[in-house]
Amino acid sequence: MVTDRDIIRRIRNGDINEFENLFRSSYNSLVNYARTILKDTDTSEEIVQELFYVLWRDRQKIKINSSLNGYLFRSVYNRCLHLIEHRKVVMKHEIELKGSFENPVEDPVDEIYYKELHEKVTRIIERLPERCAKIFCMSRFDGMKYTEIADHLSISIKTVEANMGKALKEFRKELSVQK
Amino acid sequence: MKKEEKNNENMKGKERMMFDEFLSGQNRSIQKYWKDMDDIGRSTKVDVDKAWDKLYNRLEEDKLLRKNGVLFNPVFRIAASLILIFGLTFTGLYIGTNIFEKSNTNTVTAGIEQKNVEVTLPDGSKVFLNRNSKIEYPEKFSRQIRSVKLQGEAFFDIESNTGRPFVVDAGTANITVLGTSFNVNTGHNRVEVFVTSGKVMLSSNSGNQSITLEQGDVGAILDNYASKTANTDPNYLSWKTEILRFEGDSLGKVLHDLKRVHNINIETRSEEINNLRFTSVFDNQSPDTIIRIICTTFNLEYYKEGNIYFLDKK
Repeated sequence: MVTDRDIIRRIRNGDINEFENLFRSSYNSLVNYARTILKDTDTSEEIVQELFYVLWRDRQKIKINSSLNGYLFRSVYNRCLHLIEHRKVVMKHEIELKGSFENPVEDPVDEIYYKELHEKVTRIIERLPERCAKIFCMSRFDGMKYTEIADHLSISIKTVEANMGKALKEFRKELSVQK
Repeated sequence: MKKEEKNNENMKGKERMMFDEFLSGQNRSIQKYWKDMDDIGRSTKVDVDKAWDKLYNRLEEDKLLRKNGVLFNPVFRIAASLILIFGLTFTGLYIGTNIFEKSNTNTVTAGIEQKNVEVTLPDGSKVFLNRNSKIEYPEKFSRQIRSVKLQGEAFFDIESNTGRPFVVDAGTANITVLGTSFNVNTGHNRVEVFVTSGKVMLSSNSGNQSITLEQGDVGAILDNYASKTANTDPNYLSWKTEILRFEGDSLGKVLHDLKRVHNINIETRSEEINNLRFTSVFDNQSPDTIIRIICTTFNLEYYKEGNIYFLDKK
């Protein structure tokens, strides 16, 4: 099996084909993941595009300490948060300019709660082993069936199930921790 | 119906059931969050082809692709060459990608002060470079052959792979092995190979001279002519092991080996000194210590000027 380290090394060395493979295999799930946070497809696509653009441009400098998948999800997450913060500032200015005090954002309690959940989910994806995270994301964010994942990765359904089980166990643990 | 099928598909497994149970006991926010994630994953997929084209075009426009990228900008090339030359000259050890070759070639150079620079090849094989030596190898070996290029001297410890021969291009000769360890020394139109384990094929570049070497053999190609002898020198690999063994050897040979291993110059004042016989083993000792021991043994004196030791009778 080709490891993340191999992929990273090849991309560092300017292998555009490897980069394309990575893009094609993770684009959909990253966009969907961004959509869970931003609720908007176009902006989500833009964010992922920008992430890959920077990844290629700065490929020599970027340090990846987690799995590649974890790194990508973490980056999307950070970019989404950044955008939300930015939007808030813009909105505040607009409200001040228009002198309007309507609040178009959703329930603030919900928002904080969601932020915490997003943070947890990102942390788990980051922490899961390479293959486990990949399978989890394919199932959750690509909406792929277990059989499709098994076919795609040339592994048995049993392995997919086992990995999903492992991932869900992590989620259960993490989500049940009360702050 | 379709949705049910999918649920059944994904419901398999004990952990999945436990998770669903857990989820139903959680508050509304978590349940909604998880459901949102589900719905998004199931909704229409984005157009990945289109997205890739968009990104690719953008990278191309911004000249971030190799074809017409920064590597072919003449100013950059000159700057890179200068950096490369300075790097090689002053830092001694240069590890990096040879940016002028299309295939990704790694080059490791051991400078004048560095010997025993360890390099791990893509197949896990190890190479130890002597000083003033250089090895080039691809980022990834091809399926058929593992091929590297050597200048200077190196010791190879090659991972066995009978389906994929390992070939050292040593300039005037090629060394082909399947999995073994051996030393290669190149220079002055001569390529010499000493085999420490396994079998090695040494052939001249023209291909009309070829010999098989076995453990303990020293083979050489000089002026397109191959020769083979058994190694009698216990210090053949001392540059790597730093162990020097002498058994009644002439001081001339002792000093010659010291020069080779420690990169020092030793001058003697008379031929008589060179013919003295010496027995000892040195393991990792500094040249200063070794010279001192030799002088004490034979009642000699020495003085040092820069990198040169002068030996004379008291």
